[in-house]
Amino acid sequence: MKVMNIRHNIVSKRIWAFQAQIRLPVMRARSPRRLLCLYPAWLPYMLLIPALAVLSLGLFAFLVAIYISMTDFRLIMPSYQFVGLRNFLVLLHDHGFRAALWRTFWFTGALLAVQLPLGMGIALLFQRIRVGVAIWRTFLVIPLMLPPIISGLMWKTMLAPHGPVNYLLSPLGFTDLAWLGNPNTALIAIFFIELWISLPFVVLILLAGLQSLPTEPFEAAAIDGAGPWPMFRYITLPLLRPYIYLVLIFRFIDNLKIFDTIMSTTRGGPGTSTQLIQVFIYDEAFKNKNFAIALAGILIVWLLTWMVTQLMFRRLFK
Amino acid sequence: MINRKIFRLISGSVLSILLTMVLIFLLFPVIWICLMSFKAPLDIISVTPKFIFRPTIQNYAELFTTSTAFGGGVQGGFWHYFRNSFIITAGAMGLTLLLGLPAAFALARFKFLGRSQIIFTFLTFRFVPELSIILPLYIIFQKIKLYNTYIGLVLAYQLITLPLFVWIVRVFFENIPRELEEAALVDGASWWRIFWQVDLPLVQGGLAAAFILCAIFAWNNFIFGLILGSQDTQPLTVGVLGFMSYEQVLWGQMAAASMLIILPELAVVALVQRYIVQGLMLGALAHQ
Repeated sequence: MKVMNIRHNIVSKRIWAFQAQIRLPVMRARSPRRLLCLYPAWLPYMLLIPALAVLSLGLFAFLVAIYISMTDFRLIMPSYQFVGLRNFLVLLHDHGFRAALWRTFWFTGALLAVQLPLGMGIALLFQRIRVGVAIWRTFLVIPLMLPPIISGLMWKTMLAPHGPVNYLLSPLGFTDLAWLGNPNTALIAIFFIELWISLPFVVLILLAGLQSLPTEPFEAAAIDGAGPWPMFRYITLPLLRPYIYLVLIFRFIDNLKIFDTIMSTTRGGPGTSTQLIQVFIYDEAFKNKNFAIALAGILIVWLLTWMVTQLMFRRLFK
Repeated sequence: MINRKIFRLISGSVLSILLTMVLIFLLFPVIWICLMSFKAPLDIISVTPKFIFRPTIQNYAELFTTSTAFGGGVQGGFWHYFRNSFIITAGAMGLTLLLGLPAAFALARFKFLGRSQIIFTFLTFRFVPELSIILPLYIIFQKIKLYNTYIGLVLAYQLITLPLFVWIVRVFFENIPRELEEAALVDGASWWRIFWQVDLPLVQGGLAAAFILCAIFAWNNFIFGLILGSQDTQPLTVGVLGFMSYEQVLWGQMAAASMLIILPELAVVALVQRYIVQGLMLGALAHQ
């Protein structure tokens, strides 16, 4: 089967041209235009100030966080001293912090690597649904809409040694695995729980992308004699690139925030095998009472998040 | 001819099988916990998981009467936490509505200095790790006596609901056709009348989408209640952890409590899933 060198024929030119102008949103946000009536110049600001005032509480908290992270504040001692960047250096050398960070990044990478193809596949399946789209969408959205704490609890019951998961897997030879009690399997279990929770989001975005694709490139490719796989690889995937980037950005950020699920299942254990970075920070703040160090840690995480999102947003809107 | 028909048939059934597998994967945990909430304790801990059993509502009854899991002995503790969840969520959404509608309208309909910076600010709240704000807020709230109060929690929740709400509603405001507003302007309406009598009725759908989505996220929230509240004000999501004490895990009651927590959400999702999906899409895709 001849592999089309898609870069040189007429179809590819149209794809690149289309891609250059592809815009993301399902619903375009048009540029604002002034209300053509009389209004005082301070009106927009007046309307915005209440909301911004409340949000500035968050900004203030963030600044306080930066300040505290440069002291040696502990919850149990009222007095504290300014120590500069010492906390950051201590953390970067701390084995526990590095392990948690590393674990989180591995976890995130693996989760993304599984979510995208799986979500893509499910989105392609959903695209073929003709009857009862609404019902399918309802079912799809459910894992996303449940509190992650409850999802964790639900899976905890299912992953118990005598639970349904082991029961269904018993033909394969797994018998009575304590998924959440075994340091080797606990993280894998959390992996599946998070996959279950976040897959709907990926599917929804990719589905929106699939439904926004034009039909002309596909028709042209069909005329040129392309089969389904080349069509997918050379037309669908490039056109879906903005959507895939969006999924990557959002899921990357949300994966760093994983907390509820772990708190309701393993609480970071056994040992530290499921201690992702948010759990580490929380324990550092409230178990070890090392508030300043915890804040330094979360600021390091924030910095990393910010750098990665800057990178990805640049590539998205280049 | 026949080949094509057979191909269609096979691919059609393969599709159905795959979709059914996806469906089971998506729904199984919910179905399982539903079943578990009706099982007697003996059925729950049986060695082989039972799908056929004699149902009982004992777990639900215990939640409201004798359960000591919630709040360490608070009688009928479930109601206490449910009330907290309700007050916090309703309060947070009320405040968000009050603050967010004017803000979204202003961002959509007026051109002013700093507009794009403010839009960007609303966006950044999505990307900030929550702990970096909650941890200092814990200290701040204790200093200004907002710790463990409904007002404090409602304010803190704004950090989640307000940006998303404004973000979604803004897009809906911007998509109102210019002609309708200009017609009102020709008739001599002020901006206030345009807002109340022209724009607001037109964005009802979007408003519903944003409201429901934000309300669901507020109801589901765990970390704010965990850190910024204590037994008096903590919502259901935090209270549920009380089932896992050191002596035993009360699986049945936990399952019953979980069902009661998610039942309102499931109902809402079933009724307005179109709006929810729309809201989610806008929250993610409208980056302009």
